[in-house]
Amino acid sequence: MNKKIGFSDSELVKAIREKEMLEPAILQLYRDHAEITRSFIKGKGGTDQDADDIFQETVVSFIDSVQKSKFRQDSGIRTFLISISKNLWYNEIRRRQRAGNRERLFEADRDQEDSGVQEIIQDRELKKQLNQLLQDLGDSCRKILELFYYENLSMKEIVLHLHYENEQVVRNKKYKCLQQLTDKMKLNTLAARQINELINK
Amino acid sequence: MESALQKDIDLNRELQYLNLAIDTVRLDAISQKVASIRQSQEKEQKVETAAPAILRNMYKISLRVAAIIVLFFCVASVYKYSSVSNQSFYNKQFSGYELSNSRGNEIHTAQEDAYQNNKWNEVIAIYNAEANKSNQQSFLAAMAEMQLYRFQNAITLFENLLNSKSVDTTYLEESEYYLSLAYLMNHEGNKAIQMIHKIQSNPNHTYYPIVSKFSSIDLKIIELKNK
Repeated sequence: MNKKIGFSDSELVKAIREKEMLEPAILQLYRDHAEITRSFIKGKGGTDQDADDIFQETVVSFIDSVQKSKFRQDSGIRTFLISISKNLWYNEIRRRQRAGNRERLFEADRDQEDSGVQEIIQDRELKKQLNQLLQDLGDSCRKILELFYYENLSMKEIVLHLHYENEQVVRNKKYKCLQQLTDKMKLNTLAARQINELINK
Repeated sequence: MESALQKDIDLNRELQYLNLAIDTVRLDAISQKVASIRQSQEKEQKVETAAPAILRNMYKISLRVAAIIVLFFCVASVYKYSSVSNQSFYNKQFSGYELSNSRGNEIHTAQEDAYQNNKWNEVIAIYNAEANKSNQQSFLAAMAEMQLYRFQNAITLFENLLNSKSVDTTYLEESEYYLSLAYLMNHEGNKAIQMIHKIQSNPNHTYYPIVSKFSSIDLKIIELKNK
């Protein structure tokens, strides 16, 4: 039985991809890489809160990239995380400037070389909006969809987790929740644009 | 299927929306996990930042006395104080429970197999699906929660097991030991220390040989930091 805390880069990627050891992997990302990105963001005018928020978003994007096999290990985890954090922070500054703040832009420093990172940044606004639609469905829908589509639990297991009457009730509820989510997405302009691009590819 | 999708744009569109919805659910689940780890990290940092104030006081006192030996002692104490935390103590003492040691060559249950293969979520799902839960099933589920860093869930399972008043008396001492470590990681240091003292006071306890070797200085520091 391992007591382990301390994955190598490739073990960490494997742990994230296979999900079974995801929590310890996230903990290690925080232990090993949070401080350096915090320093960068605070050095560029961010507060402690900004630094924590940006790093959290960075970790989520990194896990998403790994689980979709979009992360190429040749760049190294730390380089990739720093690159995402930088770009997220520059976008945030730009957003705040548009909102009337006076922070300066640091475009000269901006990382342009990694297309994986650029893709993450471009999708950010869409993902935020879609996440809001999911939140709007309420906690019971969120939970049932998460257990089925992310934790891959069977209907029987979901009945036990969420204390529904039987599997049919869960099945109906899951169907309705997913339907509501897709209906809301169809009304979202950014989502519609992305779907059109995918269909016309 | 692919050619049907190419021909039927509406069907293709529906499928793309479905994929996008599922992807949104997936990302939300990841975000929740990351947010929960971030919270536990922030709690940990708060506990550890309490140290410098006490250190400064000790340093000032040692300057007033102006004795090199006392100063040296203070520096050593400071180092010890700052290096011992709930997390460091846990990292030093926690090692996963070895199921095979106690089970010999018996045929393993599905939960035991999942446990031995580090499939923690499966261990918990099997436990949840069981109507009549044995102490072993509860214990393994609690250990799986610990491996997933969900210490509050582990504590609930251990406490239920210890308070169950069942005729089944297996895994009680194992639960007491791991519960003390789970308390540490859940920032309930005083409960952890109480449980450790309970085990230390019983030489017949399975974990007495391990717990009796715990450094009393380390335990005192944890007690102080959790006050």
